[in-house]
Amino acid sequence: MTFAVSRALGAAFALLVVSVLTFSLTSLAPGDPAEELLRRGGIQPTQASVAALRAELGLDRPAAVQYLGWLHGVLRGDFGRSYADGTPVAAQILSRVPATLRLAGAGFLIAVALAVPMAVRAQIRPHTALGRITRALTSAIAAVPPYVVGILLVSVLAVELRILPTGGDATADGVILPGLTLGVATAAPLMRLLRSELAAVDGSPFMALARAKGLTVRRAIVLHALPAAAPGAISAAGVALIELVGGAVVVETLFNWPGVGQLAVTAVRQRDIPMVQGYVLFAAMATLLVLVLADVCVALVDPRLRDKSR
Amino acid sequence: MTRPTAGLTAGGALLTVVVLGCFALPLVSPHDPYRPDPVNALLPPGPGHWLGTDQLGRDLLTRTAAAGRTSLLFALAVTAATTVIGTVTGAVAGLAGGWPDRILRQTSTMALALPGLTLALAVSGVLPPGYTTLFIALVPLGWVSCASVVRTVVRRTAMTDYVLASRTMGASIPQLLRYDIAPHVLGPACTVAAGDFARSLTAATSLSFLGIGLPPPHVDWGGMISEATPLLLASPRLVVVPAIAIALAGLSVMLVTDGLRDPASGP
Repeated sequence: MTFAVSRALGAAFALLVVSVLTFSLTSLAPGDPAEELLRRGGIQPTQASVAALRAELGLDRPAAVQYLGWLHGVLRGDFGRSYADGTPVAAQILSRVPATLRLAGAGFLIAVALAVPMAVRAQIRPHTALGRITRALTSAIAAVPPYVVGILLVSVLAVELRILPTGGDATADGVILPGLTLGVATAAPLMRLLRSELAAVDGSPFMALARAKGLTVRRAIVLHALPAAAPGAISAAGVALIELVGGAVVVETLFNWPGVGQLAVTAVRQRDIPMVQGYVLFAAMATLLVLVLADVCVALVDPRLRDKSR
Repeated sequence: MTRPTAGLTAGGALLTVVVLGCFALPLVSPHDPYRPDPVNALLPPGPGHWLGTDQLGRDLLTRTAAAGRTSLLFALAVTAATTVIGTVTGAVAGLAGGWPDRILRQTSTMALALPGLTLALAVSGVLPPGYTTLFIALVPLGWVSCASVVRTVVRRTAMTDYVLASRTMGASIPQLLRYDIAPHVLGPACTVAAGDFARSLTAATSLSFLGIGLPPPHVDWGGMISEATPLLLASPRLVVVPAIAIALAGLSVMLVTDGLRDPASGP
């Protein structure tokens, strides 16, 4: 319990620093946000109107005061309003979350379903032709950006073979290709991590004992090495989930998937700073949540770590 | 140095081919990678144009090579910056310990909270598009992994007996760094740099693919793919060729990295 609390406190501190970074993005932007807003509203900015809007937005106050005001809003769930259409940022992001979760969920399931059996198999029979091919293929896929994997999948499955739709809508069939893209792109690094975990466990004395008492390699690995590798596997899965959320940005844009990532890319293209800030904070929150949950899960399955915590 | 493995040899050969192709081809090719030539648009692969031409009549092979030059040089610049910053901060934190070390460790925890393209998206959302913005977007988080690795190695090395011996003989800090510590840092730093290179390549081309990387007329592999995606159904060649180029570059760097890190592994 103390472990979970200390991790949560660490994450909260990290989030605070991220919020300062995020807030200072505004000051990085060239030009005056008030002037920019007026221009987007179709009004020719004059000295008086800019000054009035600056006062209204609180831009004439010191940066620290502005930050505290902004943070106060964020803590109440008010991330500000979009420059592009004036809608609340938080509501827009939340409305996109289900689509992203569906995509990330599909990708995660596919990644785990591919990576775990492949890693176990590669550890049981590392020197067969199949093992070598699997390893070469995972190295290749791990080396390639997700959108390239997606494009190659689309051109084979949808363009050449015409067995799947190219995606673009949130129908049941539509999730297959983007989910597969994300899943395959994540499975490769996940499999590499799992395999090195398994290899590390495989060298321990209890594995030698398992073999000595007459278990086959396969049974020894499935029954003894796999549970022992579970803590590492959970951390790896946490990292994979985070990578998924990052990769989703690109895959959502590629398949025109109406998720948070697509929203963020559109916001970046339109220089919609409040929306970009909202996205960064949101992504940091989601990431830290996954990290803390993964740490807690690891501590739950591995009692050795709980005592060594901090 | 042990004998290079098959993976390292294959990766090195592939990397050489990719690099040579990207830098030499645009020089010897009779075609201009940037100038449109609408009369010859969308030609199929043939004698004049080995891989055909794109929607504006530019030779696909030359353009892919020129885009590759941009991608590779940019990734190299980012990697150089992250490696230098990472090595210096890592060495300082590792040698000094105390609060510089704590700050570095806090920073690397913080870096976990902004995974992948998040920070890059944030930076490209506020600064005008261009090389500088892309550079600022990719360097800040890249150096952290290098710094952490260097810090660990420096710290471990600084505790060894021979470093103690050198110090007893009156070696100054620069002498210690130069003769006793640097040789140990070199290997891990190179491995991290190779990983950084692959990551920067992926990240920069991803941003260009999203249309928030380099503004036209600059083009890298991601930009080429992004231009050609609407034509995927009509002429998949325009998308597949740069996609394979990225795949080959990424794969060769990965093979070299794996071969350097662990001579026993590799396919």
